[in-house]
Amino acid sequence: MFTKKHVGLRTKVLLAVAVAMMALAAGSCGTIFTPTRPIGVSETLPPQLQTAQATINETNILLTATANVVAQNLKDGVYTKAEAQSYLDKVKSLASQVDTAQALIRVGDMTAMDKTKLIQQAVVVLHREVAARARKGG
Amino acid sequence: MKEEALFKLVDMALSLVQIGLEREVVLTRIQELEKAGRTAEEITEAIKVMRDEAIARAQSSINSTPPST
Repeated sequence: MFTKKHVGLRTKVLLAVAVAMMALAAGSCGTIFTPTRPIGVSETLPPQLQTAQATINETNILLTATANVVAQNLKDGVYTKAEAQSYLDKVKSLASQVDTAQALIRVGDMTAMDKTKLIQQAVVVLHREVAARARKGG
Repeated sequence: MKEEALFKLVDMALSLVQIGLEREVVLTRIQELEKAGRTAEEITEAIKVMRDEAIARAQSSINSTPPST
């Protein structure tokens, strides 16, 4: 992303502050981790399962974004191959759990809601891990 | 040391923003499906397909990366 050769210290300070503020602002107002509206939810589902379906779809969107970021960070040299594989394995594991919750919704199982809440929490934790891993030797 | 900490802060903040931007890209594709009149079930399935494709692409990138990196 940035190299010591190309960016002066003063610029880096300003950039770090600006980007950190943007990230914090975006995170705190819910644009990154919180769904803004239900997506792909059938009104024929019972209300509880509508919430579960919205959570599943949002989680799948976040997993898609995470997988793309893992690939990009590997390409940019932020992650080693092993680190990228480790993060992607977590994405795959969560995707599998999401599919299990989706199967519960299909059969009208009300426990889907509890399961999707737990999965969503795990995805947020994974996002923070992915974001917290900074460039080696930066 | 200060410089190193700053680089890490920039990378962490950019990763957070990057995830948010990637999410917006997916949401844009979904909005296109909604405008095209796709049903909720079709959109749900399309989101799952997008997820699986992203995972497959990431795995392919990892597989094609030399072990030392």
